[in-house]
Amino acid sequence: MVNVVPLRRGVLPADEAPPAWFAVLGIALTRVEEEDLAAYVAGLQLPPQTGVEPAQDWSRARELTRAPGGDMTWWDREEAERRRLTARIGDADAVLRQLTHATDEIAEAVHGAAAVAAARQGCGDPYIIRVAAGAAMQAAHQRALAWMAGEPEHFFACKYQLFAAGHWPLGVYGGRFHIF
Amino acid sequence: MSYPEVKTVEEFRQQPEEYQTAVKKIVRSHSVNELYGARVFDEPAIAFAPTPYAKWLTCRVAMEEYHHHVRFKKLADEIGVPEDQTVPGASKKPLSIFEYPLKSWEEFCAIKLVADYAEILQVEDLLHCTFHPLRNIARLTMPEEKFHAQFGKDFCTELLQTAEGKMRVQEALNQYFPYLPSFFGAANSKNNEVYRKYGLKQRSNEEMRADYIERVSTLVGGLGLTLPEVRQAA
Repeated sequence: MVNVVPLRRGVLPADEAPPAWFAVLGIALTRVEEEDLAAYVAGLQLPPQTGVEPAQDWSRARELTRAPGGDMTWWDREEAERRRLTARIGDADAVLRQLTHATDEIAEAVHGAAAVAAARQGCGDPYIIRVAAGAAMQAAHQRALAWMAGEPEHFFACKYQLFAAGHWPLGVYGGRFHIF
Repeated sequence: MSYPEVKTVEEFRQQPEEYQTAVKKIVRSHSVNELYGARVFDEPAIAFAPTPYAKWLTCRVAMEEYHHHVRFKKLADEIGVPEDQTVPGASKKPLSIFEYPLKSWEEFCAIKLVADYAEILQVEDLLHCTFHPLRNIARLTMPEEKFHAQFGKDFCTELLQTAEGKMRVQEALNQYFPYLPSFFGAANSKNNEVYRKYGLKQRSNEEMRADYIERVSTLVGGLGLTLPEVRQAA
C-alpha cells in the first residue's frame, strides 16, 4: 500500500487517507479537486486570465515540462514560499534533514506508482517517470514544510492534495495552467 | 586462495579485526561521499536546471543519491561504525571535488557525465565483494548510478548542440576532471592491499584509475570534448 506514514509521523494528520499517486492522470477533475486546483493557482498569484487546461497523456506532459524558455514565474513563486517557510522554522537544518529522510521513505512507493501509471499508457521512458516522481516528492516535501511552519492551510497543501488524488499539476505553459 | 564469503553481519563480527576495519572504511567512505554529492551537487543543481522537467528530474536524482547514502549508512550502523563517521563533518574530510561549489547547470551535467562514471567503477568493484551485505548494496545501487551517468551524457549531448553550450561544458570538464583520478586513492595503497587480500575489492587503485581514464576518454571523445591534463594521486 502506498502511504506517507513517515511524513505524517509527528508533523501531519494521522487520520489522512493514503495518497493515490498518479492513479487518475488524464481523467477529468472532481469538484473537490477543482477547488484544490483553484486554491493552488490562487496561491501562485497567477494573472486572473490564466486558464486551466488538461494534459491527456505522458507525451504531452513531457513536451510541456521540457520545452525551453518557458515562463518560470510560478516555479519562482513556489521557491520564494519554500524559503519563507524554511525561515519560519527554528533549527531549519535539523528540520530539513528530517524532511529529506522522511521523503526518502516514500520515494520507492512514489516512483513505483509513476512507473505503473506510465506503463498503463504504454510509456516506459525512465526519464519522465523520474520527473513525475520528483514532482510528487517535491509536493510532499513542500506540504510537510508548510505544516511544520504552522501553515497547514498553505497552498502547498492544495497542490499536494492534487497529487494525493492521483493527478500531476504540471505548471504554467503558454499562459495556461496544465494538469495531467 | 580466496577469502571465504561473509554472508551476514553476524558472520562479519566473527572475522579478524583487520577484515572488519577494512569493511568499515569502505562503507564509511561511501556513506559520507554519497551524502556529500547529494548536498554539494545534486540539491544545488535543482535551482540551475532550465526547465520544470530538468528540475523535477534533478529532484529525483538528488533523492536517489541521498538514498544511496541511507543504504550505506544503515549498513555502517549495523557493523558498528560510529555515527559521526557516517555523515560529512569534522571527523571525515570530503573528496577534494566537493570543495568546489556548483555554479551552473553545465557544470552539473559535466559532473554527472564523468564523476558518476567514477562512482560506477567504484561500485562495480564491490559487486563480487566477499561481504554479502556490502555486495548487495552495490548491486542495488549500480542501476541508478548508471542512470545518473547516462543522464549526464544525454544532457551534455543536448548542451553541445550550441557553440556556447559546448564551450561551457568543456570549461566544466577542465575545472572538475583533474580532481577525479584521485577519487581512486593513492598508488601502492596499503588500504587497497588489505581490501584485495580479503576479496573486498578486486583491483588496485592504479588499475581502476587507468581503466577510468581510458573509459572516460572514450566517452568524452565521442561527444567531441577533450579531457584536461590529469593530476595523478601521490
